[in-house]
Amino acid sequence: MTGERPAGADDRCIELVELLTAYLDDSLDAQTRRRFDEHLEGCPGCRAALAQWRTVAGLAGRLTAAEVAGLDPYVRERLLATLRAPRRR
Amino acid sequence: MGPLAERLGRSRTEQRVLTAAGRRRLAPLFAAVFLQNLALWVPIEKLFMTGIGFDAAGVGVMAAVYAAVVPLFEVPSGLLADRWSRRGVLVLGSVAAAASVAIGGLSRNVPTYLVAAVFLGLFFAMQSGTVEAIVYDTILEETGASTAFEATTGRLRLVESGALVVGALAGGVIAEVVSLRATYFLTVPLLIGACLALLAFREPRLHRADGADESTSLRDQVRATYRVILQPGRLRLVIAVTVAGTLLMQSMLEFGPLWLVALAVPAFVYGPHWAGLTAALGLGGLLGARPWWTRRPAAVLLALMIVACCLILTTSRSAPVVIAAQVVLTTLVVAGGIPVLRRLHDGVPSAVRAGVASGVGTLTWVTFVPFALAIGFLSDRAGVGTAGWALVAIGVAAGILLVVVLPGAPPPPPAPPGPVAGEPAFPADRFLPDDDPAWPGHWASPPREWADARVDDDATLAEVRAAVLAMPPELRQVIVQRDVEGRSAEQVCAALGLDAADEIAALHRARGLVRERLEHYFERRNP
Repeated sequence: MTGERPAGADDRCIELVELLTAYLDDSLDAQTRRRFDEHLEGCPGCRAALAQWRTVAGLAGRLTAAEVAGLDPYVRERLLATLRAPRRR
Repeated sequence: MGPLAERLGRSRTEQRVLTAAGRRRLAPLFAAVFLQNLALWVPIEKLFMTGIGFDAAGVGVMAAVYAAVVPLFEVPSGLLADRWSRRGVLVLGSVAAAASVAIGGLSRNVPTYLVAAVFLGLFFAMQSGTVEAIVYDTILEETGASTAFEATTGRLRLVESGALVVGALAGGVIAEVVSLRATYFLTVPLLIGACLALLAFREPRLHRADGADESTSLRDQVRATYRVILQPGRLRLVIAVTVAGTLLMQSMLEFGPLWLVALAVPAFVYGPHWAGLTAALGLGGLLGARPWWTRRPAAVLLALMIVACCLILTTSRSAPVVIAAQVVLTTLVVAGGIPVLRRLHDGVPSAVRAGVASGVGTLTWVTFVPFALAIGFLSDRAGVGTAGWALVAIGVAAGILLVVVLPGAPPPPPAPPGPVAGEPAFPADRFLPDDDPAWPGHWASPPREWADARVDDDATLAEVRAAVLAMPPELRQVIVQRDVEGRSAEQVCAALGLDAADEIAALHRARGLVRERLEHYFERRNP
């Protein structure tokens, strides 16, 4: 455990991190959002978690749809297996 | 990302059929595949081998040499293809095939012909998996999606079987009119033509951008794969019937012509015979795609017909009857193999699917070696008819297993692996426990800052991509639409029929999975 007891210590980090996506979407109600902001000021761990969440969303935004357009692995494997079947000549 | 990603981004719509540009791009590859499969020597190979001093046992040794070389070099050549160049590996493969037919055509004894068989094995090892990987990635580069893979693959199979049939027919005629040796030598320029066609092909570079998982533990993957293959239960039966069916098919392709030799059939029949076996592969594929096989009577009929064909091969002395039995047997085995394959994949988690499929393939090859030796030895000592009893034994085993494995509706596909939405974003052990006296629920092991410089490179992006591709489809489609395509929450809810809470939960879980993978990745890279 590092650092001092954060401000907003009533809010448990383990619960707040579940709101990161809603926080970034700006879909928290005003009161929850305010408490989240207060907590962030005093909690470096949750600030880092929020930064990582932003980084993940940003990096995903740099992918193209084509790069992540996976065939269903089952379908793909069946297609490949069909190709492989008559492998002798 | 470089220009590649921009190319990919340009056309996001999914296309069932390849664009004209894409088809033009693939044309040299199709030409190469056609030329590679135009193997004039194949239909008369066994006749030629008998002429240079092979007895049936020798044929068995050659088949065994071949069966040993392919699995030995399959994986290494696949690694070479991904690390160096897939087109390069295909060119090397064509060179190996040209060397094989040149050596084969010059052979006057058994040992030289065995050398030719080793080169042919190298060719098949290099070919296997490489062509479909190239086709898949080219389509992805050209259309931005893989939807056109099926249609393109269908055309490729048509090109392949067309070349095999034409080659078989032409080879039979050339053997009759010129000589057996000429069929080998005339194949060499075709393979050189294949090399030239390949050099005109522009190779996709997608696999370069996707070198993500090289460092994940190979040992763990191998261990998990073998655990699935060896686990007791229904899957064992499915694997057993796969092996038995493939043994029968390989026996027809490898030893089928021996029956013609034993029945002293004239050389021109070998071509149509081989063409018939080749056509059986396609016909079996068509039959196997039908939905009949889950009915018990259909499965029983299939099993009985397989056993009947084996019995005919063992007892009949009439060439037309034997040829028909071989073609029908090959068709039936290929047809039954397709629903069996479905059962195999139903029973395998996707994380080890490809590994298990290759493992079963290798198991088949390993079984084929002693089987080929036994058939060759038996044919030599007691005639090919007696060797047929070994086929009958395998046929009975395959038939019983088919009747056990096939009937009944296929089990529902396995539930999506692992958690979907609702799992915690960070594992609970990153936080202090509830009974912690000071700060229950606060960070015990808080996440580290990620320096911007570290996260801003292609390797990191490849990790993100791999994480997105690895997640269950219901999470993947949400993160793709929201973060990759940049749609709004409302649009995504409407498109996927989700309510707002479910959409956020799915996006949250999806981002959490990406975050987790990146954290591991950065720890590996910068401990």
